[in-house]
Formats: sequence, structure tokens, C-alpha cells
Amino acid sequence: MGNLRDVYIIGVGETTFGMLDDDYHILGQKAVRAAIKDAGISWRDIQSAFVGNGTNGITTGQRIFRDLGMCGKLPIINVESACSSGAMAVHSAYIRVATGIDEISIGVGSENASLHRESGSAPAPGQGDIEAFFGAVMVAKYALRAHRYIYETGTKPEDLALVTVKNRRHATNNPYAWRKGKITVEEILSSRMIATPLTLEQCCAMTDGAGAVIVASEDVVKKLGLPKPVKIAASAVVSGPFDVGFKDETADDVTTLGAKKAYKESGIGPEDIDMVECHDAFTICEPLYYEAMGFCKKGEGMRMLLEGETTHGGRVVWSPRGGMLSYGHPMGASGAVQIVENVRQLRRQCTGYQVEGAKTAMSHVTGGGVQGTQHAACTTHILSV
Amino acid sequence: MVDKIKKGKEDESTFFHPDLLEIPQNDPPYLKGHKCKGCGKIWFPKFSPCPNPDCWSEDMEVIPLSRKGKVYSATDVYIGQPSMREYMPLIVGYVDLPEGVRIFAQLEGEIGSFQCGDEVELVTGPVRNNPNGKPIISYKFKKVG
Repeated sequence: MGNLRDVYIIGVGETTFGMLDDDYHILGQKAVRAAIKDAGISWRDIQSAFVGNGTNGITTGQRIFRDLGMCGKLPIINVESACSSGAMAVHSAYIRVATGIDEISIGVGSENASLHRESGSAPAPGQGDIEAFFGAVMVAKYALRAHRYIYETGTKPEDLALVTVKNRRHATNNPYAWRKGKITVEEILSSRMIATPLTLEQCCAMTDGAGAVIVASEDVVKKLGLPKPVKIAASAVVSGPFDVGFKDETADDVTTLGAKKAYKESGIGPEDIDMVECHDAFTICEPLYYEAMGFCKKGEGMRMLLEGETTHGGRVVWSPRGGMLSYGHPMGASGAVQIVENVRQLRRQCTGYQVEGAKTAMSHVTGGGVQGTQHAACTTHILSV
Repeated sequence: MVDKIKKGKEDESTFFHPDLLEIPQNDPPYLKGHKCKGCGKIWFPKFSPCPNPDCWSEDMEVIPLSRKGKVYSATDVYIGQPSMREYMPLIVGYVDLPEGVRIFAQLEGEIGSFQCGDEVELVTGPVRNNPNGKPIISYKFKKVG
């Protein structure tokens, strides 16, 4: 890589998540204002803005910043890659500072799904996609992976349900999470079938929310006098390899590609990571991504979960905020909010759900499901203090 | 591809779609593979140019794909696109053909009856409705025998 500057996160903000009456632009504004307040800077200090949104329309970023009176004062660039949009917005802000164009930039992810989508419908791959034409929805594609994972590893459906149990438990004291607290395997398995073997409580909910991340150069960090700033050790974006042949659907090529890029960029490996927020849109995702990101060998993901390696007190805590299984998954927002929560963890601000001693935090969010790719995109961040 | 359907006769059943599926008069239907004359790779569906970035040839030869394949994975789907409600629950799966091509398709049969490794063969039938509510006929797979 060329001469990139170190980049730090100086301010974060998020809304509570749930089915909300505020549209995406109001949610975005709340997150932006919270992040600016958190950073202790003026809006005038922000030199560029990147906004991730999946489905709410065009020029969504300008719509967010217009009502804050900031339009005309800085370039606003809209970033879209389905579920990866919010993380990609943060990545874009990172690049802007790393390359020395700006001293301070902001990445925002915002989405209101519930005001715009029909209830009971499921997100599908892009329009015109051949698999979507034949009825593919994202949950069906993950159900196919789950069915195959069960076939190959002998995992039981009740074991998959334990991912929801863990993540909802993690979220219990998180004020921003939506669906949280105690839930039993029996309740999960007896909830409505969505796509075999995945029941309703094994799927992320259609929710709304926003997150914002302000990034800055080392000079700014010094001026602000931040004692232990959170550093972006890696910010990696990859696109999904394409082939119409036989892919291993119990693996995830784009996730592995993204993780390896992030490990190389940061010099930090999976053995050094203290916590991970991953794209746990469905229960099957976690064991699959433990493996794909190199936290265990192929086929051992479920063992990691069952032996408690991925909860508090274990080797590496996955989804300490509660993941998408607790927050729900507003397409444009999730990737940004994972980073917001990871920053809070590294600052030790997560009372009641703090990962003790966390010094490195990873976030991973894929995007889209175009035919011939496992996902169209993947954005991976590693943060450290 | 979806655009082409809309341009068809929307008041009648629609056939999807000539680049994908052939239904000969006296023989069973088959899927059309598209073999690149530049690099030899077999594609489904049709791409032009060849998506191999070292090739990008526009010269494709149509070859019939095997009518039989193996289920890589299958699921019964109870939630879907709003326009497909009357087809729910929908059984879908990946079918691996001997030519090295994986097809995402609807499966015809009983809910809960498909397992990884099942041998299936190509059939035709309604897969969804056109904008006027008439069925669109295309390929599906059902268990052999």
C-alpha cells in the first residue's frame, strides 16, 4: 500500500433500533448530531460526508444533511452496496483522511425499512437477477446454506438456535438493541417457519436505525487531546468473486477474501481479535463466518459456539451488542452501527455488556446476493486501542 | 431479462425465456448452456461477452445441458416476494449439473421431501405470474423416478 496516514475514530453516534416512525433522513440526522457531540467538534470541522443507504431513494445523503444546514458546506457522496453500504461509507471517509485529502470526515449509515417495505415481504437479490426471478429471497439463500451445513457437519437445528439465544442474551443491557433478553431454544424452534430450517426467531428483523462515525487524522487527535483514541487498523472492501460453477456454500469466499485483506493490512490475525460484530442476519451465519474468517478450522464453527468460545469469558466474543439478531438489520445502517458499537466497546462504555479487556474489535458486513457470487460485496474493519 | 417478459403478451401465459430453455416438439425440454468459443467455459444463463476477463469473447455456442442433476441443497420457503404469494410455500434448491454448472431452481414435489444428493430431472411448469396475473412457464426440477 502507498503512503497512507493513520486514521482514528473521534466520534460515534447511533439511534435506538426498532420499527420507527422517523424516516431515514431524521434517523441519519440524529446519528450525525450524536457523533458530532461525542467528538466534541463543530459541524464546521467536517470536510466531507459519505452516506450509506440501501433502498430509501436517491440523494439520500444530501437529504440527511440538508435539514442540518450543512449542504453547500462540504461534499456529500452517497454509497450503496446493499447491506454493506454503511460500512462502505465509513471506509470511504477513512480513505479520504488516510490519503490526506481531509483531516476530518464522516461516514453515515441510515435506513428506514418499515416505512417503505411491505410487511411480510423479504428482501431479494437485485432486480433482473435470474435467481430472484425464480423466487430467491435472501433468507432462502441462507436457508440453503444452513441445510447444506447441517448435511455436511451433522449440526442440529436446535444448535443453530443457540446463536439467537447467545446474541439476545448479549444484548440484554444494550439500550440501543431492539429484541433482547432471555429466549429459549424451544421458543425459537416453535416460532413461525420462514425457510427450512430457519424459523422467524433465527432471522434478523426488518428494522430501522442509523449510525455515524467521524474519522480524523493523528493531528486532530492530538489537538483534541484524546488519551486513548480508537485507531482504524484495517478498512478493507472487496467485491464477490463470480462463477456459475460449484461453490462451497458452507464457506464464504468474499468473507475470507475480506478477512485476509484486513489481517494483512493491520498485521493483526484472528488469534489477536478480542471481539467481532459479524453479518449475523441469520443464525447459520455465525458458525459459517467463524470458519470463513479463520477463527477455527472448517467444520468446527458449531463446536466453537457450543463450547462457549464466542461469548463472554470465551476466547473471542462474537456479537456483544447482540448482532443483527437483536438489532434487526436496516440495510444501510448495520455496517456503520457495528463500528459505532465496536468503538464504544474499546472505550469501555458498554455498561452491562462490556467485553472485558477488549483491545481489538473486528466488524464484518457483506452486501447483496447477485447470482454467481456468494455476496456482491464485503466490508471488514479492525479497530484497536 | 425481466424487461423482456414485460414486453411480451401480458394477457397470456408467458414463456421464459428462449435463451435459457428449449422445449423441442417431440423430445424432453433442456436448458441451454452457452459454451464460450474463446476459452471453452460453459455458462448458464447466457452472458455476452464471456465474463472471463481474459477472454471477453462474444462468440458463444449453444450446447444442451444434461436434463438430470443432483440437489446440492434445498429449502421450503414460506416468505417471499409479494408477487409470488400464491406460489408459497415455494420449494427451491441448487441443482448441480454434470457440465459443472449450478442452477438455482424451483423444485416440484412434497414439502420437506428434498435432501442433499437427490437425483432430479428437468421439467417445465408455472414459476410465477406475469404482471397480468397469468402464469409464466419455465424450467423446474423434480425427483427422478
